[in-house]
Amino acid sequence: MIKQIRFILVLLVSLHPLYAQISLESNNLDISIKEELLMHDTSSFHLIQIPLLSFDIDMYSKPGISTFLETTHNSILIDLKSYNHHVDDFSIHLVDIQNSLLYYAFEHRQNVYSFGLTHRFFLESSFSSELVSLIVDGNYQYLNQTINFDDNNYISLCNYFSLFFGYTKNINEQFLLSTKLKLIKGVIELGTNNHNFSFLFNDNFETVNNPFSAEINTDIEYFINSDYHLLSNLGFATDLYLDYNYNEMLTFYTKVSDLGFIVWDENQYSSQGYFQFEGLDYELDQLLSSEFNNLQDTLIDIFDIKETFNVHKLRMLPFNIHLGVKYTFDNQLSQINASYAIQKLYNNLLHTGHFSYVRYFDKYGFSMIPSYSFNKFNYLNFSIMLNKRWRNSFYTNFWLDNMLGFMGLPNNSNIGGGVDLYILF
Amino acid sequence: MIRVSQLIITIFVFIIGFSSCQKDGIEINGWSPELVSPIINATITMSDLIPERGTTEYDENNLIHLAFRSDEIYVLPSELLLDITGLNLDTMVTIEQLVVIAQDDPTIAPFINSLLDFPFPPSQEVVGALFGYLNADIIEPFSFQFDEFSDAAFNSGNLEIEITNNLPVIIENVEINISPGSGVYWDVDIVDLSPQETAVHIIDLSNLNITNSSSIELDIETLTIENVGAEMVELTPQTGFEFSFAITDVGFDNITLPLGGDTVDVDLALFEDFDSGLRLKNPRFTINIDNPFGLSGDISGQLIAFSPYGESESLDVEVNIDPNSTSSATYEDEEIEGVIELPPSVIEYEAHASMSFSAGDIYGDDPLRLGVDIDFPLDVNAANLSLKDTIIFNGIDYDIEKIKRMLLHYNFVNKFPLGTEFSLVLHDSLNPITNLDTLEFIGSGNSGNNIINPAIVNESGNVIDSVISSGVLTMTDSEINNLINTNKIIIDITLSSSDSQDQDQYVSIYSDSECLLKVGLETEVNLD
Repeated sequence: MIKQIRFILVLLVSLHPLYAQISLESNNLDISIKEELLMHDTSSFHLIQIPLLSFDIDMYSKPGISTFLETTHNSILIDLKSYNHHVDDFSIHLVDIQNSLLYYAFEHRQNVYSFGLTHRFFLESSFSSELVSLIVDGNYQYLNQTINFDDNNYISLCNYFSLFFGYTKNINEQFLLSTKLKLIKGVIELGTNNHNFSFLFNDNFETVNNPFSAEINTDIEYFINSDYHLLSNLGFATDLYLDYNYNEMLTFYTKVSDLGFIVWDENQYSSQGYFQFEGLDYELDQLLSSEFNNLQDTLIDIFDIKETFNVHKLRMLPFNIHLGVKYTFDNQLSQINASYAIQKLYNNLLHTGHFSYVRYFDKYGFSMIPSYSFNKFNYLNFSIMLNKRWRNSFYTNFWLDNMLGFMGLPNNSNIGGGVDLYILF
Repeated sequence: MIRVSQLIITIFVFIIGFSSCQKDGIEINGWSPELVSPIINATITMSDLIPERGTTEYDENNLIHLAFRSDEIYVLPSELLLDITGLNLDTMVTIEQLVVIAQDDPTIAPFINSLLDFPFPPSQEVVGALFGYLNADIIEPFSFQFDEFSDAAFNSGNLEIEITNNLPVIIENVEINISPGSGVYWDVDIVDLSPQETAVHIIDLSNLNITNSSSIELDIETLTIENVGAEMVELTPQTGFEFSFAITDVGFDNITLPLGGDTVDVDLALFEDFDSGLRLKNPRFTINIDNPFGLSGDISGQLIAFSPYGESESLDVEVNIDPNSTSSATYEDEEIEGVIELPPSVIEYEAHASMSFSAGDIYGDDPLRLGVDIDFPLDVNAANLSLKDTIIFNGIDYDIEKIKRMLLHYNFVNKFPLGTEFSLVLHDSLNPITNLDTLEFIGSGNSGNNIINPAIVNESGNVIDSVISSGVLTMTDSEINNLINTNKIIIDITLSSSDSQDQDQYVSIYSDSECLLKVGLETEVNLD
């Protein structure tokens, strides 16, 4: 046992932090949480997840990554023109990596208690097609058009650890309740926020004005956490799971994850300014370089970055909520699952519908779960999950999202996958 | 339960898998934004191109003038006039001078040299018979030079001629013919003039006319000196005759004083910018005379103007001189158009004064002053004006390879009243011999002569509205490179009346006339 603990500790400090535990909530095994598995298995009282080797990676990208990113032998090639071409109204890129660094649960008097440490990296960025086109193709195309950049232009990143204590209990024969209380330690936070940014370039040929004129209006905010001490950037969150067995075949469930907040100590930088530029006014008795320097100073004054240090800012975590129903066939070897999930994004919600079919091969201790899901990124997300029980104690889960994308088909707006390894004893 | 070795193998496989996916770097492709931006609104005023300095002046309406005023181009001091009225000339004819002349005569030179020491010591005694050889034949005619005048008509005055005998013997008889000018002769006859004695002869100058002369000729026609035989007499270097001429109580009906010739000290740099054929409206050239004396007369002469290419034009001038007053003569328009059309780079004068005065008319310490007042307003008709100014430019530190194309859009707002050729000459001060490039801003709808249309002027030649010319310079790679690397931009502007609708229209050039070059940039840069 001591050797095992040592081995776990070595893995904790030596392996890449992105290797982690998968959450099972969207992959619809017969059990939705591992605690439930422990409660159903009357021969085992402990569950331990293999540290650092359980992870879940979900990446969404619209446009799809393969439309603008190529790999060659020596480099990664980003084709910005193609990227711009494939942006409809706005682009969005989301990376959600969840690692289980440590997880242990045990059953005691029909209650399951769990402890653990998880890590989450959540990055979300969105750029409107106007902004992308402006950066990639320049402002020439927008001559004589006022371009307003809305709140679809932002970058948000948060990176935090969760130390949790969980409690699972059958309330009665029909209801099962599982909760986790999490102490959150924020590590890195940064983001940009566009309140109001617009520009207008006009052409003024055959007039007394400069051939081009510009009006730029900005109201942009940027923030980054300022304190990296152990006891800074703390927060709280909870996970909640509740299922209701309507009868032996039909089960309704709901699950909430990472519903909470972090109070960040952050530095905030904002720039508000309006600048109308019709060319540098220059007379021959002036020094041209000085006038350009003066213009630069003027720009700095107008778009002066206002700095506010050490602000305590409460920001919600990117929680998600699932509502689902499971139907188990009479043979107890097949199950149909339908669910609806809401993922909180920076300034909106991601809605996902999900259908899966579970087929359990009792002889091999093996389950295969093909599934179909859809959301605004991908309407044809076919995924597969494989579950294998080894020697009645070691469980492995492997899943792969959006198989069409992996097969090279153009539907490649998201990729994802994960591994989950745990032992019941 | 899974073995630890299996776990380690699994971890190893993951690590190898991740590290094998690492690439050397990220490359960006297809990033070539097309950008437009206003760049600069350059205002070029005429005062930048024709600054107010030297003889270039702006009047109260900012009209540019070539203006020059000097009250003392020539000064005739009272001392000079008094020298004329009190002309006093002295000269000596010494025995030593005569001995020197006699050296050229071989018949007498040996004999004279045997009787005295030559050159003369401070004092020597010689035999008196020596003076027997001194006669009129060995004294050549000689003259007294004077520069004060050349022609004169006397109405009063006396010429007092004094002859002093500095010989140690008596001059028994001397007849001298004196001529102050052609056709005027006076004979002076003196007898028995003892040693150290002075004979005075006075000639009345009334009604005397001297023409074109600046000297008094003396010819000794007869000279008889006392013969003392073998008596020894003392000779010094000063031994000889002394002649003195003095004019007193003189009055002139007319006297001509040469004022000479010189360059008029006026800065004509403004004209350096103009080509030949310049025509101005209401140019004036005035000669002023301030006469503090009681004399009268006139000054006449010639102004000779030279172009930088050696062409010349002259202007005859004549100004009256009134007693105790100022007077002037002004030359305008057609009288000086030939001079202006050169246009002149140097002006010279050649003049003389014809005056009538007497000694009593010259008083006080103030001189007679001759000055000029030049005013050439730039109300131009036919003109080609080439102007330049310099902008110091630090260049741009940018990789030209990233610029796929560059266009300079411009709106040229011309408030200059003349057709305008506008160029930017790109220059590298480290290689001053050659220009890097020239960017020519061509007027819209031009007829191939690159001239941007002039501003609209009213009948008085004043600008009433600007004219806009727009265009675009599509820059070659070479031009882009030169623009980025230049460190000095020369604004080269040529203003021309050749495109004027009305060839008789004069236009006024004001210091606050301006043109505005407003430039915007259109470019495509490769940011891959």
